Amino acid sequence: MEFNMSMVVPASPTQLWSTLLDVPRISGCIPGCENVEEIERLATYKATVKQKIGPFKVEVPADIVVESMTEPSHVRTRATGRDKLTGTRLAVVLDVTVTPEGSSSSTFAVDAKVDVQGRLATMGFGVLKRRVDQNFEEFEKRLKEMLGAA
Amino acid sequence: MTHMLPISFWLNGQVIALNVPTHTLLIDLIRDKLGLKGTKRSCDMEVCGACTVLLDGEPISSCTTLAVDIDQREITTIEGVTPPDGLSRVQKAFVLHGGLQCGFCTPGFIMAVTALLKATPHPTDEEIRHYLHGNLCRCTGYTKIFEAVKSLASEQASENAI
Amino acid sequence: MLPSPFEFDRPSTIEDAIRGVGESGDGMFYSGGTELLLAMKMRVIHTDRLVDIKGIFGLDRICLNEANDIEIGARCTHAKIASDPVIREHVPALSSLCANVANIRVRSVGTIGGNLCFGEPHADPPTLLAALNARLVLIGRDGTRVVPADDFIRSELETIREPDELLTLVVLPCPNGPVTYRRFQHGERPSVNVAMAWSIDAGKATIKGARVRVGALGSRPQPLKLVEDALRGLPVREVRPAIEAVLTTALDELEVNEDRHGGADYKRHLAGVLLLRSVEEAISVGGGA
Repeated sequence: MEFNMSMVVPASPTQLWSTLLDVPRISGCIPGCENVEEIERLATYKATVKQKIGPFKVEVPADIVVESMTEPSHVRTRATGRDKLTGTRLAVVLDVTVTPEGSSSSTFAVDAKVDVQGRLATMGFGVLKRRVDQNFEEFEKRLKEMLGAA
Repeated sequence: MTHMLPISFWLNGQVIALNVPTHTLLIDLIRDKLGLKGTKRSCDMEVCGACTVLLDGEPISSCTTLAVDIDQREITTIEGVTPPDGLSRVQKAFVLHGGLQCGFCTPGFIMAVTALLKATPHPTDEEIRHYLHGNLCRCTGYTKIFEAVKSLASEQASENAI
Repeated sequence: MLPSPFEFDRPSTIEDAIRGVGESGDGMFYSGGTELLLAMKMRVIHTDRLVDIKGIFGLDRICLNEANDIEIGARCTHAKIASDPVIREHVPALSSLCANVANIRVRSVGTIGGNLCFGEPHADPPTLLAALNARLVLIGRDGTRVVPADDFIRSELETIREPDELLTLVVLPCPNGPVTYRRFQHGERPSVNVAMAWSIDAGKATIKGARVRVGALGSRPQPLKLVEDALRGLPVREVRPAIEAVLTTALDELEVNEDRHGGADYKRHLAGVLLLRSVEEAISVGGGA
C-alpha cells in the first residue's frame, strides 16, 4: 500500500529540519503509534503500533531505523515489527521531503509504503486497507495541525 | 495455562466421560483421543463437510466445534452408522451407484445423507441438492452421489434401516 | 491450528454471563462459534475466556406477541428460524434467507445473534432486518437498551455493542406487505444483496411506505432513500416507471468498496438489477391492481 500527502507550511526548510528529525513527534501523529522511545538519537527508536478492527486486535512492537538523512531536505525512516499473537508482520518506509516554496514557506511531503503480511492481512485485506487509508487521512490532519500548514 | 473441563457424552451409543482441555476441537477428540479415523479433516474451515458428524442427529462441522460443547449430548460418527457386519442402506446405495472414488469426502456425505433421510425420508431433488450443498467432492462430479441419494429417497425404507 | 487456551464458563443467567465477560480482559460471549471459533483457530482473535450462553434459558424463542411484533431470540439458530411456523407464515423471506445461510452444518449451530454481532459486511441477516425495521435488545451492566437494526452495525466488523453487552432479542413489526430478499448465490461474486419491505394499504392497491436496503457493497447495509421516497403513497401499478426514474441517481449515492470481484459501477448496476427483480416479485406477491 502506498500513500502520499503534501502540504504547504509557513516555515523555511532549515526551520523545518529539526521537525523532520523529531521521530517521536512525527510518529506521535500516526494513529495507533504509541510509546515512542529513543534508543540512539537520530538512528534507532522503538514504538508500539496498535490497531483494533472489531474483534481483531494487532499490537506490533516496532523497531524504527533512520535510514538516511540529507540536510535540510530529506529523511527516510523504516519501521518493522511482528505481532506475536497473530503473526502479523508490519513494514513501513516513510520518506519525508521538504522543498522551499518562495522565501518563507516550504512544501512538506510524505511518501509512505506500508506492507502488512500474515493471516489477518490475507483474510481481511480490503478491511485492512480501508483502515490504513483512514489512518493516513488522520495522520495528514494531525501533521497539518502540528506544522501550522495551510 | 491450559484449562480442563469434564465432559460426558454418548458416542455411537456408548457413554464416555473425559477431562479435556477447553480448547480441544471435536475432530481431534474423535480422531486422536478416541482413535476413530473415519471422520476426515480437509478444509478445516467448515466449508467442505469432510468432517461432518451428527450432534443429537444434526450435522455439524467437527473441525470447528469445541469438545466441551458435546457435554450431555449425543455424537454419531461414520463408525456409528456402519453396521458391524456390512454396510448401511446409505453406504450400499453409494457403492451401487458409484458415488465415491477416492473416498475422502464419503464419510461426510454418508453422515449428511443419513441425517437428511432421518428428517425427510423422501426428499425431493431440490431438497437433496439444498441439504448437500455444503458437502464438497473433488472426484465424482456429484452426479453419482445425487443418483445414490435419489434412489434412497424413492425407496420404501423398513423401520430398522438407517 | 488450535485456538490458544481459554477459560470456559457456562452461566445459567444473563447477569452471570455479563459479569463473566466484564470481569475478564478479553472475554467473549459464545454460542455456535461458527465465526468466532474459526478466527480463534486461525489465531487472529484471542480471548482468555469464552462465556457459553447456550445454558441460559429463554434466549431462543420465536413468537408473535400481543403488539403484533415478531420476537426472535438472539440465540435462535438459522435452522430454527428457517423452519419456524411463525416466520414461515409472516416473513417467509426471512425463513428463506436463514435456510440459505452458509451450509447445513453452520445452520445447525450458528445463531442470528452471532451473525449480527460479528458485523460481517457480506452477511445476509443485517440487510433484511434493517429493511424490516427490526429492533435489537441489548442487556449490559447498566441495564437494557433497544437499538434499531439500521444503527447496530457501525462499520465492517464493528457494532455498537459493548463487549459485555449481550444481544438477547430481535423484534420486528409483523410485515403488512410483500417482503423480498435477493442476493447473488454462494460462490458467485461479487457479493451483493438487496432487501425490500412494503407496507400496503388494506385494498392492496397503494404502497403506504417502503424500506429498501442494499448490503455487501459498503461496510454496512445502506438505504436507497430516493427509491423509498418514490414509492411512498404510490399505486402499485405505477411502481416500475417511478423506480426507473430515480434508480441511477439512487445507486450513485451508495458507498461501494471496489475489489477484485468488481468495480463500483458494476456492483451498483447489480444492485439495481436485483432491486428491479425484487420489485417484480413484490408486485406479483403482494400488490394488486
